[in-house]
Order: sequence, then structure tokens, then C-alpha cells
Amino acid sequence: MSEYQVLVVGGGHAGVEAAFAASSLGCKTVLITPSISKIAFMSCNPAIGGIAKGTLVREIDGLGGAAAESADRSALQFRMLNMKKGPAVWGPRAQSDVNEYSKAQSQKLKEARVHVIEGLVTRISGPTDRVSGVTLTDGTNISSDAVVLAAGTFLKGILHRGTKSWPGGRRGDVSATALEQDIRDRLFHVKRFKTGTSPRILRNSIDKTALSQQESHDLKFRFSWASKEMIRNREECWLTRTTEKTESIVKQSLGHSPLYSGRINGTGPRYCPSFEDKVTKFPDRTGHPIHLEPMGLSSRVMYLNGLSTSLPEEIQDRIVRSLPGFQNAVISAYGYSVEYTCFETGEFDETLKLRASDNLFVSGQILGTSGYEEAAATGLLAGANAARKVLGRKMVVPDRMNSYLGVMVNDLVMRGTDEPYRLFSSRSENRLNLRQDNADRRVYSFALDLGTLSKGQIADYENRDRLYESYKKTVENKRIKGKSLSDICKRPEVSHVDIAQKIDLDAGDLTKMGILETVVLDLKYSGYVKRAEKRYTVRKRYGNVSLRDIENYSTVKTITIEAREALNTRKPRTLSEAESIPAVRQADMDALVLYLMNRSVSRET
Amino acid sequence: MMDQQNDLIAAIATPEAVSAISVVRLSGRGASATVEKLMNLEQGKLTGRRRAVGDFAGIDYLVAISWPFGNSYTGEEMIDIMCHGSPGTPGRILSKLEESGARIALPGEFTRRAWINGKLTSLDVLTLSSEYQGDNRGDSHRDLSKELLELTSELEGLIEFSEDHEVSNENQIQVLLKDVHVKAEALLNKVRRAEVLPRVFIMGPVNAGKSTLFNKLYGQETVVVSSIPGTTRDGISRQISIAGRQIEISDSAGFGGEVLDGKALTLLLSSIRSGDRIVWMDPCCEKPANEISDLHQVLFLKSQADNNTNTTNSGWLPFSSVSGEGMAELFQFISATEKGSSSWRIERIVELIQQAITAAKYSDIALSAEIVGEILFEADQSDMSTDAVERALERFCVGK
Ligand SMILES: Cc1cc2nc3c(=O)[nH]c(=O)nc-3n(C[C@H](O)[C@H](O)[C@H](O)COP(=O)(O)OP(=O)(O)OC[C@H]3O[C@@H](n4cnc5c(N)ncnc54)[C@H](O)[C@@H]3O)c2cc1C
Repeated sequence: MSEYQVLVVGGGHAGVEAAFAASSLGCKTVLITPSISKIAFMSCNPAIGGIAKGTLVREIDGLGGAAAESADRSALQFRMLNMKKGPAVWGPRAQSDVNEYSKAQSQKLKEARVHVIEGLVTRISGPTDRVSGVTLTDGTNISSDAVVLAAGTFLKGILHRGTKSWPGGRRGDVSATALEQDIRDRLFHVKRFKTGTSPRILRNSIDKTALSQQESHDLKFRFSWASKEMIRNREECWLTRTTEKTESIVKQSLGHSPLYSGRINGTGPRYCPSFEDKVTKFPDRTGHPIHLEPMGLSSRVMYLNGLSTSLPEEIQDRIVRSLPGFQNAVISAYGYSVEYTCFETGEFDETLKLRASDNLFVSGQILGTSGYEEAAATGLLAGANAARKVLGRKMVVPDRMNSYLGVMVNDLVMRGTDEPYRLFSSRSENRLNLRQDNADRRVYSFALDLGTLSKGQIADYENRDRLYESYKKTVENKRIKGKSLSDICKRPEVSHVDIAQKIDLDAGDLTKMGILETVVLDLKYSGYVKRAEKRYTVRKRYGNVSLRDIENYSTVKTITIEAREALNTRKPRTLSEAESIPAVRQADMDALVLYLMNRSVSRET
Repeated sequence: MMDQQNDLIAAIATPEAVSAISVVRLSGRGASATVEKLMNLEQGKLTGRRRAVGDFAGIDYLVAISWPFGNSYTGEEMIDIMCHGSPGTPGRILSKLEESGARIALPGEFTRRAWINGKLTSLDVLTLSSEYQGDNRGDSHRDLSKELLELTSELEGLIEFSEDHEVSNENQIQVLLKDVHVKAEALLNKVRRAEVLPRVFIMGPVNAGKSTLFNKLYGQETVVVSSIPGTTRDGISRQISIAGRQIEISDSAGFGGEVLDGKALTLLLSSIRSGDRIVWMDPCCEKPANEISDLHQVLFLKSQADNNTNTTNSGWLPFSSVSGEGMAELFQFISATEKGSSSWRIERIVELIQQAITAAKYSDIALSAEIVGEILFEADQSDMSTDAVERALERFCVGK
């Protein structure tokens, strides 16, 4: 008998959701992390959400996860990004109080009766195909039926600034070196990624009169249907721009940058570039926007969003002071970058279980992702599947047509990533449907498959669903001057607020208004969504022809060596999955089809 | 065609005339090896551009340009041999290649291979075909695709990054959208011209009412698009549009009823394509004593039904141009001609672009992007009327 059913290594964004989900399924769960006070700590910018990411947070809510409610509780300021780009790509984003968020997530763990142990895991115990628990620094053994790894940026983490580098998972935290070695000793394929963060500034050292205040939105928004209160704007954020002086300091200092002097070998994200990257890629641009965001309510420290850098300290001082309003700015913590180990694509499948093991799971940054939201969502999936495995239930996989979680997991497993993977709305083939307003509806059936929802959550959902159906019926049946209301919905200038008036819905009831909004948008986009789904199936014309019978592609001589290798590592289940692997070209697909046909013929005779 | 898909083909790709340069093109499996042998080169040595020597030395000062498999116009191993454009020289090169096992290419065969290998889309071939007919007005499909891709990246940039990096703006998008609209309309016209329309032949004995029907279709219920010179002997053809579909109708009056002379009939039958339709009219319900009765795309009309006491035989539809009886069924029969015609697809593209413009006007960039994605999909649908492409290819010369 093991002490625990599910054991989670690492109390970051992924680990917390993994433990929370496993516990929701009724498993006796333990979370091991070096410091309780840093549970779900925001290592980088103090905010949750954004384009696609905010939608993902609402999916987490629909799947019974914890992050959405904590994001609401700790929010300081709210903005709906992309407000003028269409409802399908609206990106809710809350500025967060870092400590409040961490406390809120710890509270969630407590409510879920997750056992939290302070400690650093040095080894996984038992053979890889069936692990039996972990060992901590002090030699303690803890046994468990399944283990979920969620070690973030800590696996042999190395921090860099200027010419200095030192081991660490992030500023002030030790690196998980022994665990990384154990992973390598178990012959997992791993790779090195890197990411960076910006300097923090003392609030009272900035001259705010030189800055412009960033507009916040009072939309009465909440990420979670369970939150009783809407997000209020309690703090201010500010905007400044880099000057020519800023860019020229950086350009002259590139030789001191660990990124450019070749000391960092890891691959960094293209889309969240360091400031060094920005001036190199856009040498003629000046006036890059820099956002100034508080680390907490009335916090003395502000975060400089947009100025991620790992240049030496004295250069960071000069860069910061070249910004308008920052002549006397004092840096309280310098920017740096971190290089860390994560698993190579192909090591895990879409349940987030490592292929080489029966009961070892991965989630968060070590999958090759980047971002709190991405980490939290994959944590939820890995934790729930680990619990399902232990309970002898079938593990489940989200569908990429229904959720960003599905898009992300499918991308990570089938396409792989050679830089930290971040969600974008354009990664989805079904973007008009993957909206933030209908997140709970889209993921509900998957949530039931996962088994993470409580009875109360199911009842709440069903109430909302009843309202949805009744509004939908009203809109479809009601006619105004001979025109059906559903046709009126489809006009580009009509929004749910107009429809609410026509069906006498109280605009003050935010829940009801939210549901009506989904009814209206579903109607507006239904034709496009249907066609998108059709296109998706046409593109996937190879459908679900199983490839399970092919154990080794090396014997399929008609396809290119490149494709053989890719197929051997990814092990796609079906032809359509094979098609989505970049190394597999059309000609390889044709050859593969022929191969399958010939084989089935020779078997019949 | 399929079994010889990448055998070695060769042809002179430039006009037979005195010119600075002429090109002989060779494509297919073993193209490099063949030329390497002729040039006394070791296998694998012919890459990029090279002075052609060896067996070629006696012919002229030659240069061979080699494209690797996958990267050439045809998508196969391909070699262009350039020589001076003096009469006879390209021919001598071609003979050498033929001696080495190459087959002389059929008209349009290089382009066909490019299409089969995914180097050109169906629309590319159609627009190339109309350009080849000397029609260079407007822009080609490639321009449109390029523009659409640029538009996509602007739209996606606006959606994903404008909050942080200010990469695109809405005005830019509007300008690009309008540009794409203009290009798509030009393309539509071009494809309409390039396309061979499905045809409806109106046939039957003299005085069966063919011309009355023809004039009725041409004159009233339908929109006249253009008039094209007769395609059947002495007959008249008109391009009409029924239910949004372009169709060519032919009044084959010249065949003179039941006594179709053998030669004319053979000619007509051989020109009938799978997408065509035949309307056979006879007030007496007598099936023609020739192969037409066996074709499946024939509608038999018992004409002049308004003043006709003959019994209606089974398989015949009572019809009258005067009372309108049977007209609805006839329209249905005619408009069921071959689906998926290319101009129909491009009409859809033009309509979609209009929708994308409207969406952007109402600040729904995501919807705009969705529609542009749909257009790109429409534009490179591989199942797009292969028939139309086959026909367009027929118009290409040898060497193209
Ligand atoms: C310097 C820096 C810059 C970043 N920049 C960006 C950015 O620009 N954009 C972006 O989207 N994201 C950025 N992030 C990443 C963001 O912090 C992560 O994506 C997110 O935190 C990942 O969540 P996680 O749960 O996977 O890991 P983490 O939040 O890193 O949590 C890992 C947890 O596991 C614990 N742990 C590790 N090893 C062990 C062990 N052996 N035993 C016990 N516990 C262990 C750690 O103590 C930690 O609590 C940055 C992170 C850092 C450090």
C-alpha cells in the first residue's frame, strides 16, 4: 500500500492544478514543493489572462480547476484585450496581486484537502515503467501510486545576468539538479529552453507625471462563474516608451548579453522576446511600449512589462534611466534569464503520461510550454488523468476543435515545439467557436469525462444550460416586423445588448446577460463554425485510419528518412495525425497509404 | 496517363525561331542521370548550372540548368538545356535526349505534372491557360494567393500582437481587403474566359420546336451573357446564365432532324463531354434511331404538348414553350449540369471577400480572418473541377 494515490512534484501553476484535480476525483493527494509561501508564485509578470490565455483560464473554470476563482479574487485591474477585434478573440486579462494569488491557490488546496509537504525531490523511486514514489533531499521516501512532475523552470535551472551565471530555478530559489540527473539517467530525451524576465522598480522612485496612465475596463467581468464578486479596478498601471537612447545603450551592450555572447544554449520564445531580441530584430524601431504594473495592492515594487533583459546590472540601470520618468529610478531586482531542462516532444502522449511509464505524468513548463495559464491547464489534465489511472478508469484526451486545452495538448504531442510554446488564438482551426464567453459550454462534456466537477458545479452548469436553451428558443421563435430575431442577431451591428431589450431581459443581471451573449454569438457564427468543422474534416481526409500496427517505420523504405525518424519518435495513432507532423510530406503520406494498402492485401491472400 | 506519370519527357520549350536563346526541357525520373551521361559527368555531379560538354559538345555552346526533385517547375527532377536559338539546334538536342530514352512530351504535359505534383493549383493552371491564350488582363491566381497570405499575416498580427507591439492597424487591413477584392474580381473574369462551359444541345426532328425553345431560353427567362460563334455545324450557340450557372446552349438546327449525316453525328458525339446535356424534342415521342438514345444525359421532351393529341410514351416529358408546361423540369435538368465549375468557385470567393470587408468594418477582425481562411481553402481546393483543368491543359502547347 502506498501512502498516497497521487503525488505531485512542484507547487507552481501546473502542480497546484494537478493536485487539486486529482483530489477532486477523490484521490489521496500530496504536493511536494520547497516553499509553501511560494505556491503558485508568479515568477514573471503579475497578471493572469490575455489573448487565448484568458479564454484558457475560463476553460479551466469549466473543467473544475482552481485558477479562475483565484485570479478573480486577487485581481487589481482588468482589461479586455482586443476589444475592437471581435468577440472571438477578446482576451480577458487581470493584473494580479502576486501574494494574494498565491494565498488564494493555497486556500484552494486546503479546501481540497491536498496534503502539502515542504521539500525538494531528488529522485523518482522505482523502475521507470512503474514508478513508486519519490525521495527528498533529506532521504525521506514517499510512496505513491502515480507521480505528476511539475518542476517548472527548475530542472537544472541556470540563471544568467551579464557575464554571471549561477544555479537556480528562479531568483531566490534553488535549482532541481539531482532530479534532472535522475530524469537523464532514466534515458528520457530532454532539451534546454530559456526564458527571461524584466527588472522590478521601486514605485516611489518613478516620476509618474511623465507617464501616461493605462486605461482599465470596467466590464463587470469575472473569470469564474463561481466568483460572487466581479473584478474591480483597485490599482493603476502606466505606460511609457523606450527612447532612442534606450535602444542605443542596448545595441552597444549586446556583447555583454548572455543571449548574444553565446553562453545560453537554450532556445527562447520568439513571441515573448527579450529587449535584446527586439532591438536586434527591429533595429530601426524606436518607442517600444513598456507597461508599468504593480506587483500587488499598494506594493512598493512595480514590474516593467516589455523590458525583459539579462544584461549586466550597471547596463540595466542605464537602460531603465533612459526611459521618460525614470531618471531617478531604483531597481529593486534586476532582470535575468533562466535556462532549464524540459522533455522532448514525443516523450509524452496526449493524456500527458510519459510514454515510457505506466504512472508517471508531466505538466507545465517541462512539457515545453510557457505561461501560467498554459501550465495550469496542462496541470489539471495531467492530475486528473493520473487520478483516473490510479482509480482504474480510462484516461481521456481533450479535442482540439472544442478547447484551447485540446489545441495545446495536440500541438505539443503531434507537432512538437522547438521554442517555449505559448497559446495564440490563431493556433486553433475553430477560433470563432473557442471564445471566452462559451468556455464552460465547450468543455462541459469533457469535464464530465474527466470527472473533476463537483455535484454543485454540475447543478450550476445545468441551470445555466437551461437558461441558454430557453433564450435560444425565444430568439429563434420571436419575430419583429416579420423578421425572426435569430436573423436580426446575424447582422454585424447587432449585439446581445440590443437583443436583451427586444426580449425584455434585465441588463443588470450579469449572469443572464452573459448567457444571452453566448446565444447571440453562437447564432452569429454558426454558419462559419459549421464550415470550419467541415474544412477540418476535409483536411483530415485520412481520418482515423489506425497506424497502431506499424511498430517501426524504418521498415517502410518508401518514405524519406526524415519522415521515418519523425514517425518513430511521435508514434501517431492515425494517418491524420501523421499528416500533421511537419517532417511528413505529402509524398510520404501517399507512400504510407500505399504501404498500408499493400499490407492489407498481402494479409488477405 | 497514370502509369507513365514520371517517365522521362522532353520538349523544346521556346518557339521555333531565330532568337538569342532557346530552351529544351527535360523532366522525370532519371533526368539528371541521362544528361550526366551525355555530358560524361559522374553521377550526381550535375547540380545547379553547368556548361554542357561531352556528347553535346558538337552541337552548340550549351548550358544545362538542373533542378532537384521537389524544387522544379514540375516538381520532378528537371533540366533545362539552353542553346542559341538558331533553327535546328534545339532539335538536335532533343534527338540526343530521345536517343537516350526520353519521350517527346505531349502538349501541356510539363504543366500537368506540376499540377499533379502540387506545384500549381487548379486555379493556377486555369489562369496560365488564359494567359497563354494571350489574355493578360487582370491578375493571376498566384497574385491573389500571395495577397491573401499577406492579408492573413496582417490580420493575425493585428489580433495577436497589436496590444503589445503595435504591428498592424485597422486602416492597413481595410486597404489590403479592398485590394484583394479588386484582384479577385479580375481573377473571376479571367477564369470565366478560360473556362469551357458545360453545354446543352437542343436536338430533334425539323419543326419539333427547337428554335422556339432556344429563343425562349435565350430571350426571356435567362440572362444573355455573350454570344459565341457556332460550335456545331450551322448551329448557333449562346452563353446564358441559369440559376447563377454559366451554360452554353446550342441549337443544332443544322443537323436537320432525323437524318443526321453520319459524319456530323460522329463529330458531335465525340465532342460531348460528361458535363454536357442533350434535350431531344419530338412531338411524336419517337426516339432517335442513333446512339443518342443510349446516352444517359438526355432529356426527352414531348414538345408542343399544348396542342398535341399523341399519347405520351414513358420516359418522355410533356412540354410546351407556349404554355410553360414542363419548363420547370427542363430548367432543373439544365442547371444540374456539372457542379464545381471554377468560375462558380471564384464567384464564391468574391462574395466572401465582400463579407470579410463588412466584418472588418464592424470591428470583427476575427471574423474577417476566418473568412479569409475560408477563401484560401476555397482557392486551393484540390478537388476543384479536375475536368476544367484537364480541358485547360489541352490548350497548352508542347513544351509548356
Ligand atoms: C525568469 C523567468 C522568466 C519568465 N518569463 C516568462 C515570460 O516571459 N512569459 C511567460 O509566459 N512565462 C514566463 N515565465 C514562465 C512562467 O513563470 C512559467 O511558465 C510558469 O510559472 C510555469 O508554471 P509551472 O507550474 O510549470 O512551473 P513553476 O511556476 O516554475 O513552478 C515550479 C514549481 O516546482 C517546484 N519544484 C521544482 N523542482 C522541484 C523539486 N525537485 N521538488 C519539489 N519542488 C520542485 C518549484 O519550487 C516551483 O514551485 C518565466 C519564468 C521565469 C522564472
